[in-house]
Amino acid sequence: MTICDMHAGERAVVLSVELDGVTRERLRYLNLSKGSSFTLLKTFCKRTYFLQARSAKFAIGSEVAQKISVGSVPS
Amino acid sequence: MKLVLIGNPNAGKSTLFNRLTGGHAKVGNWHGVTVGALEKQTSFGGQRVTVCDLPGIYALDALSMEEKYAVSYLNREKAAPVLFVSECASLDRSLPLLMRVAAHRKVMLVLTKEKRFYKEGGYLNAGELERRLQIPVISAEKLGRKALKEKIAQFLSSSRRNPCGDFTPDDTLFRLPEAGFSRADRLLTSGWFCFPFFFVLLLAAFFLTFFPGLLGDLMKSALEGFFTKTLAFPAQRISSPVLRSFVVDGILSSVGGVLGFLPQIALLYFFLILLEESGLLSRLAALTDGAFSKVGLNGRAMFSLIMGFGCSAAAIASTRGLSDKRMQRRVILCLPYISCSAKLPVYLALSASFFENPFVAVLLLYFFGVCLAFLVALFLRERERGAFILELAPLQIPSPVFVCKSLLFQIKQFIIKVATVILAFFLLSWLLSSFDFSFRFCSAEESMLKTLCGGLRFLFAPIGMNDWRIAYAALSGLVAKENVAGSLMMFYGTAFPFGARSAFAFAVFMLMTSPCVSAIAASAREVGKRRAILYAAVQTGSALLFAYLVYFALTFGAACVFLLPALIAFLLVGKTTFENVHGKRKHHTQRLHR
Repeated sequence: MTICDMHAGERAVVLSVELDGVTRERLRYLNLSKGSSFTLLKTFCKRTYFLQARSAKFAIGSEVAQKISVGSVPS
Repeated sequence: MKLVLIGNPNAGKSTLFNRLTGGHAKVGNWHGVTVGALEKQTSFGGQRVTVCDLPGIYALDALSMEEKYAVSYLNREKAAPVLFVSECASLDRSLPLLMRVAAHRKVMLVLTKEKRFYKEGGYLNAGELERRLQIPVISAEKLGRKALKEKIAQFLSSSRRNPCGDFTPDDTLFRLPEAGFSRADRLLTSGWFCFPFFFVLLLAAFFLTFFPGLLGDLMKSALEGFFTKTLAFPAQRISSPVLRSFVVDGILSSVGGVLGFLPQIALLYFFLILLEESGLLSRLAALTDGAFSKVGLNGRAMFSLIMGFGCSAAAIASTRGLSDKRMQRRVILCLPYISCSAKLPVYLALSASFFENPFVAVLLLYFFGVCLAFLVALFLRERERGAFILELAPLQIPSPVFVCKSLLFQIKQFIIKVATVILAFFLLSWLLSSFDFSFRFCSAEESMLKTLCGGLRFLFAPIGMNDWRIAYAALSGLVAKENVAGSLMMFYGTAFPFGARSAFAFAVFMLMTSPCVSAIAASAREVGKRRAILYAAVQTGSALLFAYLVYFALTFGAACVFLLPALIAFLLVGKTTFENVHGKRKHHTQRLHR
């Protein structure tokens, strides 16, 4: 399952990030790396995904979202 | 001595820089406002210090262009003490970077946006944080300017402490507020609300600024009346024809004419400041990422395009925030089609002479420009567009004091520009257009300027403007776009001797032509001199061709359909040439890498 398959309000933990090094690093600074948990706040037209990972609130495009495998966390 | 401000993007470094130095660094509520180093001298406890504001960074392993710039600056200034600026609400993310910076330098932690942090339910024990980090910690919001400078003076005169090596924050130090999406956030990240809201805001801005009888128009008429009637009336009585021409033609009609547009430019900036400061811009950038992906750009380009409505040079510099160099070039190529505030006087000067309602004409030109920018992006589209990741700026109601200060600064900048560059240009223009080579006072038709620019009249002859003065006005836009409006007023006053079709075609030329020299210089800094000059030449050439086409379309209607295949062929040849040049360069680079 990737971020694209999640629903708004759902919490998940990152299992793997299959992106290039630069993008992976950028996500790491936003508290999104392997093992970290986050909440999907909202999606917009399956194109933009609004996430919250601890203090960081950010948006990612679908091409990034579909390369982040996640596992759901029971709320 | 140098003092460097660093920290994560949107932490409040430029706000602190302005407070410490009394400077006017651009401040905005979105990530990546500062793209270059800003330096200003000030004194701390009698010691002269150069304070330097750098673009925000997440780590010392820089990723984007502006981050690389900040890190290389930091590496160059190895001995400079650092004010590490961190927003309280993102302290957890700032600390790893702070520890890395503090390992080799004298550092002070400056906490910002503390009031909002506490209001949202956060907890922070600054004293304990200072003790555990072994780094001085201060709050920028709690201290007045004088106290803040005193604390920094103490820090500068103290010796460096050895910071704690391994530091793990816990709940006794700080607790971040329970964040999530507020109701306003939910609304503004919904396409059904955000887009209509933005559209209404934009329309309101345009109505208020341009619609006849509304605020912008009323203020413009009042100011224009002051220059053309109140001041011109006594000036007309000056007995010396040379002095009268100098005051009336050289100063009042040209410089006064340009200054008359000040209220409308100020209103435009007012709306831009509101948009930037509210946090709406980053939501809009996130929501439009999908639309931008269709033309090979990403939502981050939105910041530069919106800034383009203010100043093209600043917008071009802001493209450094894009992660991909190739995408940066494409955005720079699109930006001249977004009408900057300096083009506004030209549109208004032209439209007011011919169109019954200048509001419709200006709206049409702005809309046409945005469509062209997207068409250019589509034309240059590449598959690779860089990953879209954007941190959301907090939503806030812009502080009236901040908005007024920013607006006054923009007004001051405009007046300074008019009183220096534009005034100097018109004094020279008046001199050249009022005297012949034997320095005899004469009409413009016998002047030096006619001899120098007479050969250029053919440029605008196809659009029914067989006049060297039009060519000179167009050329004057290279120095500053406001000069075009001023030149038209200097030569023709309000009685413009050309038809509506010619005026509209000329307005289209102005919309599409290369930006002013300062924007070309900004472009040269980003993409290199040769490429910047090439872009400007291509833009001017295509603007001229497009103006001819618009004129033919308006004059001959259906007959211009025959011109369309020629235009399409021209575009296709251009695209093929562009791809060939890029292909060859790519191939060459790959060979070098091998």
